[in-house]
Amino acid sequence: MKKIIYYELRRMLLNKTFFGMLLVNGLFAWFTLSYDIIMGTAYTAPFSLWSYCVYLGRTLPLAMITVLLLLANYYYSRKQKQVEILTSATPVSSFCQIMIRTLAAGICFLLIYLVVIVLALLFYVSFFRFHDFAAFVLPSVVLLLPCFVLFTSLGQLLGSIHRSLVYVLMLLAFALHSITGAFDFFGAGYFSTVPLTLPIGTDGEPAFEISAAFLITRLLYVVLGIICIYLATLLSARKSQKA
Amino acid sequence: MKLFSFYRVELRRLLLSRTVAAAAVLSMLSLPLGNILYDFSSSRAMSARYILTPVVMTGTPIGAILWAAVMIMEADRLQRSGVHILTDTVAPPALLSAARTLALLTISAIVTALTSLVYLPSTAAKMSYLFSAGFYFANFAVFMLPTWWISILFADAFYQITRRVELSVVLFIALAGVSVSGISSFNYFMRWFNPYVITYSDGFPSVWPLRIGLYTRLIWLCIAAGVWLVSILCVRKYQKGLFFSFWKNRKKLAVLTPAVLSAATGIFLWHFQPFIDHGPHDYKYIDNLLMEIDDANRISAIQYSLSLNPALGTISAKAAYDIQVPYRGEDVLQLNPGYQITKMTYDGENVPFRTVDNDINGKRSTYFELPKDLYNKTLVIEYSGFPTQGRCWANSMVQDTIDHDYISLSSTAIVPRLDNYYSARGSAVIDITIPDNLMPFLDYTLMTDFADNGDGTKTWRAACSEIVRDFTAGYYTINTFQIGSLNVDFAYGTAYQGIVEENDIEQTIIDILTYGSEHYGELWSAEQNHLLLRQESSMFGGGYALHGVSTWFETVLSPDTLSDMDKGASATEVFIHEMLHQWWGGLGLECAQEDLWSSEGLTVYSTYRLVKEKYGALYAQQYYVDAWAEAVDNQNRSFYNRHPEYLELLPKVYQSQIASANRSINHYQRMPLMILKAEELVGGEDKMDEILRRMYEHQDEFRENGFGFADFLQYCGLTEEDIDGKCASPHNDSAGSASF
Ligand SMILES: [Zn+2]
Repeated sequence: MKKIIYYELRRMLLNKTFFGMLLVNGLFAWFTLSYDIIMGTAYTAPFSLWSYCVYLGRTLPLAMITVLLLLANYYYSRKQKQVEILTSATPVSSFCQIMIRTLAAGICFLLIYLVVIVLALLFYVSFFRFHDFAAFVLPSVVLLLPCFVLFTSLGQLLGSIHRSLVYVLMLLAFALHSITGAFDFFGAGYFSTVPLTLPIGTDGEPAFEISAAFLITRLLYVVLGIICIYLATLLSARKSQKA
Repeated sequence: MKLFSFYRVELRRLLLSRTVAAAAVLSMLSLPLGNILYDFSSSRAMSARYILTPVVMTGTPIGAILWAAVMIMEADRLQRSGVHILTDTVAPPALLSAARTLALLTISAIVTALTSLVYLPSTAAKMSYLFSAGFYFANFAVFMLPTWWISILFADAFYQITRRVELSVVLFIALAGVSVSGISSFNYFMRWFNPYVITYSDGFPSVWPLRIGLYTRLIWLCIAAGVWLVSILCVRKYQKGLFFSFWKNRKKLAVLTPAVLSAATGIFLWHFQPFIDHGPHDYKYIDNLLMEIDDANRISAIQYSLSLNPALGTISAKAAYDIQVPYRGEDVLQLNPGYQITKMTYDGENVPFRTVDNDINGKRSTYFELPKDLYNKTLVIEYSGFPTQGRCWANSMVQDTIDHDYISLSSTAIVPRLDNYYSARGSAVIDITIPDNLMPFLDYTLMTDFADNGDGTKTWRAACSEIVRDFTAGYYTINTFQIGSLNVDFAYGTAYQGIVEENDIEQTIIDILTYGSEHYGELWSAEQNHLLLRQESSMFGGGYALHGVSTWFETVLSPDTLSDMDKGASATEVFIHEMLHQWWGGLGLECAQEDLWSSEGLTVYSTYRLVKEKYGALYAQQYYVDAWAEAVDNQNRSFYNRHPEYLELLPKVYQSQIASANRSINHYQRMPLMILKAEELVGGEDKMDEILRRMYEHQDEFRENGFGFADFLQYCGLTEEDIDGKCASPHNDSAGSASF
């Protein structure tokens, strides 16, 4: 089991595609910070929670595309098919297999966001002498986690149906990067429009709050993600039985 | 042919290579980057935005880097894999290397063709009626492909000579660095890698940039090919060093002849380039008005006859002077340095002359001496050639150019200048033969008298003075109308006819001129009841006014400008804005560029007043006053306005980025709102108009330093506090951008 996890991680992380995409993610993040976030979102400070959430939202589509690109490898290469025959010979249930993949994808995602968030903190400290990051934790989790769960599970479900559907999902991530309202997967649209509708506080900025509707849809995304994982497990279990 | 069969194998291999595919895709995708990354402050012609920036300024250099990288990687590939020990015995390495380079050159040509096809539909759609397929493809063929080839040849040559990836990369970067460095910023010839084109024009297309572009590409292709041919001799044999290989390859020394020939051709072309003269980089003011002309040295009549050949961009001309008394001693005439005097006779006898390469301000002197006792004879000067641009204004690219679609010539590029004679005004007649579809202006006056030669050319005739300052011909449409006693010739590019008709521009011009002269005073350029309003090629970089002529920037009528909501709520209103700059700005009352104040404030306010008169108070309130107030409100709410201390913390680049965003709102919205407030305080619209009229009357006082905000307050008798002159950006950085 440990060996398989180790193998999967090496396969996913130690390749040119991942490092290249990590670099592209970092560059894009810095570009977003220095051209967009620096102006502040909806008249709030660049280091307000609103602006920070918009920043996460803007960087999310590319990060999700990166994760999907790495996942797509599984359903693509012939080599993997051979490995699958090998791994399916070892007694690992298809659920475990999917969980291992999700774990590997999760580590990719974490590494990307490590870079993206560290860049933001560096930006805030060096440009604005701003250090108060405690409040950033919760919104980050609310924003990142559902998005990751939904996309990786949906990606695996679609991938196990047909590998080209993963690419369709990538296109979808591109297309949906700027919807507004509570259903906004990535949050950039939501967090840049909502503060305009809120009353302005004493410091000239609306206080940060996340509406219940937004939280509930986030929760729904997580549930939807779990359902997708379940379906994917069923599907691959049936496939391996056939084999 | 061994080389050919190797070439075919390599071509097939490279076509399937992933590196090549990646380079092809990336160089194709790079084209739109330019319009995102470069920051263009003023409005630009559509062809500059949709052809120049993506193709020439972005795709060409980025592709050049990518192809050089592929070339070095491919050249190194065999070496790395160790296969060369095997292949060397089968195929001569030099031949194989040459085949590989040729294959990559072919592939880059295919990619150029594909790129041009991929972007064809979207470019054609965006530019709509301003699109010309020939011009579009020419940019790929002239700039992109040759530059990529030069890059590939250099990259391969560097690798073959050094046999080290990192060394060849360093050499390539150094060579590219020369091209992008400050030394070569305005030097067409040094920029092998990032060709220089100032901008393009939509209505008055000039091929001069393509001419010099092709010429400079040719220079560098020759040089690169020479270096590359030499590098073939350095291809290593049997794992030996550079000198041994060179020695072993000596049988191929035959290659050296074309190599040297090719490089020498490049250097020769560079040295004898016909585009830019040898004058100084800056315009030199010469005080030659003190020269005393003998009253006797009179010219009684001059006959100029010019024939322009747009295909070659050349002129062939004759100037005949009836001289009453020849100048005593050595005489001098000035002519464009690109022209050669082919013949000079006085009374039918040849006159010896010598031309001296002492170019200054786009002129070159020729010395001659006339027989001093021969009175009342005719001096005939025949000259021809391709006009050079004076180095001091070379980056405008169209100062002196003879193109199929656009002709622009200045002073000595038209006729010689004889400083030692004087002539009575109007004693000269000029005949100019040009393509029959171009509309000519001589000294900013529309030419009207012509004879059709029936061969696609027309010969235009006009009386002129001894010195001709300007000749311009292009696809112009002229609308002539009268406003009171003022005769207006409204000349605009025929390409813009649709826009002019759609937006009822002619009536708008009448409205503007009527409104402006009623409220602020007659345009000073309207002289003797005649005014020529001429659209000028955007390559000149600005409009200007003379007596009887007012020119305006081409992009005033461009779709991009007319949709700028800062300037007016509709295209017609933007046009009103741009035309009101004839009063407020460089053509009328010169305004200082300050954080709050610029010519835009007065122009936007005047536009609002005119629109109010034209469309009613309700309309003007909604689209002007309310819109200004909203923008100002938003600016007041913005973070840096509430906390200027954070702006100070930012690095300089970001400060100016934010300051320039602020400045635009200050100029276009905050200032007009403040002028409106001032209007209220001084006692209403009529009172304000009176003040504006006085300001415009005193324009001469502000020619040098510009009319500033303090001057405005003084004219109104108000203080800054009265009209709340709170400035959104306390930063005064010098990067003020001119906007039209
Ligand atoms: Zn303006």
